[in-house]
Amino acid sequence: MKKYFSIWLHFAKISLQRLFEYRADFFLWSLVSTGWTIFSLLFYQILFLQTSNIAGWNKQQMLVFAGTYMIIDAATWSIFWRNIQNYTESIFNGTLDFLLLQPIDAQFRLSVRHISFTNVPRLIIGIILLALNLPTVTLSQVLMYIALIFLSMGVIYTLWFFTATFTFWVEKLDNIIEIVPTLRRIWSMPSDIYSGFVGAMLTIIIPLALITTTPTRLLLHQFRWQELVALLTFFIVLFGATRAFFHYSIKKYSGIGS
Amino acid sequence: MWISRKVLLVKRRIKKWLAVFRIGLIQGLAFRAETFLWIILDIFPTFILIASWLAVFHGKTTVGGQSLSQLIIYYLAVLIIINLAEVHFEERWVENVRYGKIDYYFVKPISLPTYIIVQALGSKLMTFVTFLLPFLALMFGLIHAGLITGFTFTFSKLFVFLAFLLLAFIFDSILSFFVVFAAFWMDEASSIGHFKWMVTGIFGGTLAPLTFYPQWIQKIAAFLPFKLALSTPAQLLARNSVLHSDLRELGLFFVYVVVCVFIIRFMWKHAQYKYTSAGG
Amino acid sequence: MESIISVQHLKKYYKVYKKQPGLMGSLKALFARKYESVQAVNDISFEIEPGELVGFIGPNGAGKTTTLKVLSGLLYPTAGEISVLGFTPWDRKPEFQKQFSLVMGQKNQLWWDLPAMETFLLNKAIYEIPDTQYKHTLNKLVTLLDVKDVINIQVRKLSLGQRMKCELIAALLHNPKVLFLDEPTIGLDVVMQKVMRDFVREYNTTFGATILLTSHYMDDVKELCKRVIIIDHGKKLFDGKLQDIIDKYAKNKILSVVFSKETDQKKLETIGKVKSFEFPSATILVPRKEASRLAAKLLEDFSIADLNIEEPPIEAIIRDVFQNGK
Repeated sequence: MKKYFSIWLHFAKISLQRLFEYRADFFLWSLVSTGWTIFSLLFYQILFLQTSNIAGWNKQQMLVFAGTYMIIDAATWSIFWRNIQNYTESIFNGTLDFLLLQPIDAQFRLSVRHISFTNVPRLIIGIILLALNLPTVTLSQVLMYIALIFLSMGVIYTLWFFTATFTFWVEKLDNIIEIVPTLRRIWSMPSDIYSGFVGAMLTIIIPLALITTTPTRLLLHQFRWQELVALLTFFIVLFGATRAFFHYSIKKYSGIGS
Repeated sequence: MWISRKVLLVKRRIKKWLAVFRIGLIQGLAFRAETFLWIILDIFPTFILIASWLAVFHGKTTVGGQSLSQLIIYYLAVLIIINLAEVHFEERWVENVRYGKIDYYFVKPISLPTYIIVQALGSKLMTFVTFLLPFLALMFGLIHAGLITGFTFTFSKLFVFLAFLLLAFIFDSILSFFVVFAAFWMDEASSIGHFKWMVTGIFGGTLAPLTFYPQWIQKIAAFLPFKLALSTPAQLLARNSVLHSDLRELGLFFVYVVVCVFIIRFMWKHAQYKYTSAGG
Repeated sequence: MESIISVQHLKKYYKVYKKQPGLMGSLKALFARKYESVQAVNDISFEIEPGELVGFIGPNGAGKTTTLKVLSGLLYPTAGEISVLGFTPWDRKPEFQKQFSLVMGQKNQLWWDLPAMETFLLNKAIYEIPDTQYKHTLNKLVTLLDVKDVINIQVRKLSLGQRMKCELIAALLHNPKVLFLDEPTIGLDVVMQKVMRDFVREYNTTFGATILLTSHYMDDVKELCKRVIIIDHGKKLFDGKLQDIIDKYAKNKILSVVFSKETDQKKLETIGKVKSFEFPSATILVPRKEASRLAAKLLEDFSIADLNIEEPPIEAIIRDVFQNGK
């Protein structure tokens, strides 16, 4: 365990160094990321110009929600985006072989190599939104909130890695890795907007709608244990399935050679 | 005798551009799986948009002067416009310019911008064909769910809408050319491409009809041509008939496009000169 | 015979902008740019007759590619009078462009995700090649290069050699009278290099095209060109028969050795002039004609782990040419 953590720290350090080398790049893309953040905030604003309540959420609660969404989004992107991209590319350009030879867990190695920092503005905006609109919370609630954030990030990461692993099985589909970014829209709104059969699917069986909602509910003193159970179960099952799928794909990949 | 020779030359010209168009089609075909996935990914957010607005409409029949049905038609219209009129060749060609891969286009008897646009047209045809099925499925699904009620079809609406669509295509192509030509001068042109996306998205009205935006953005958007490519024609489709303001905006759009054509031709001339004097 | 390519006092100077790194640098560059002038080509003149196969050699950065780009209309010259096929290249008239072809070893014109055949069809339309001529030329080239099986496979799935062959076909479908080849053998393995050279030679004799070839590999030029133009630092150093240069300047070959046992440098000097000696490696300069014999003697008299017979690098030959004054 300790070994893996120190490896991760090492990767993080290298990524930080690279950041200073490519300053202009960083500035530009941070600007782009900030632009998109404002873009998504705009949508909430548009909705609340027409109503004061969306599925039981008022504006202030929605801003806490939006802040949580941005934090999860920025953190997940920063840690995993580039790695997922490289992962799918490495399957085609042969560098995967090289990685598989290293004496550490392949999935780990593929998932944490690069950390990007261009989403830091987004993270900061999210935290500010939270700070400005939070009701009073206790320290234990904040800690629990952070734990839930990690859980949500874990769900997103696992889903991403799972879909990316399909790259082993298709001829050439560059936008497989765009599936999860598009699915983000699901948890960019509170789960209460989904009703009926769809709602049940998205909150129980494949509880993607809970990714942002559950941690937010904790801060708003409306926590629901069932949601945590659903998310946790989903995460565990998906993680197991992803690992199995990954190892099966590697076997197939190595069997044929390159 | 002279006329038949001219005709032959024109025929050969047309054949040339048809071949480029064909390549665009074949490329599109080769990438059909990817294109199909893109279209599904493009359509998907519409569901979330509709779910969001359903929550807002809870208990009300109109919001911001529009019924839910009209709003949904708006979003469907936006989907059509984006898939028919928007071009995305700037990503690939910015890279080609950066790495000097465009040398061959200067050496062969062919004009680079014309090549790019004709090929994009061919590609677009393929995209449109791939788009039809999922879109129609979505549309019929929404009608079946009772979310779309009362869409009026008139020929005047159709013609005006198509006119907007044509101008939107030319306009978006010019914007993309702007990004590609910028690459002749600067390395960072690809980030300009992102700003193009964002700006056309915000001020065009992909999130909602412009009348729903905060006042200060509406004021800015009124000065910019982007809404003419998206929000205006989409709202037209959602309405019952063509208004005078629509025709006025169409005329304004036409003027914008003509001016932009002159600007971009000027830019191309200078980009060519820069490339052939500095070697790229 | 009137020359098909005429170059008089070609000069090409570049402004190379110096940009400071970082965002501040980019911003500053928008307003005031510092530049220095690079003289890529500095007064070159030559004439080429129809049907000639001429080699342009020189080290990297000598100005070869720049000259070729000016001749194909890709670049405006700073000064000079150029005429190719009777046209001014940088006017880029279609009638001119239909009569020549440019092949760049490091850049592809083939569509990556489609079969080579598709690019051929596209070029057919771009160059307005009539159907019968197209079919005839295509068949001839495909047979000559033996690529019948690969032209319908996606280019990205082909090996480098196969790709290069298809690139050549794409460039020659319109039967150009003039062919510019820029570093055509770069990156190819020894077998492919030979195939390429054989083909270029064959094309020159069969189709009678005028071919101008740039390379920094001596072998390319040795195998193909009777006439050679040496360029260095933008200036023409030599223009004449290849044999003259070789006879005159490349008098020696280099034996490069790796010893398996300690050796006395003095003893090595009996073989030839010792250029460098640092155990376990050494390089010895020997007369060209004696190279094989002396190599055998080396193997006999010394304990050798590895031995190579090498051409003196072209830079050395050119340096010689330059130093011997031209």
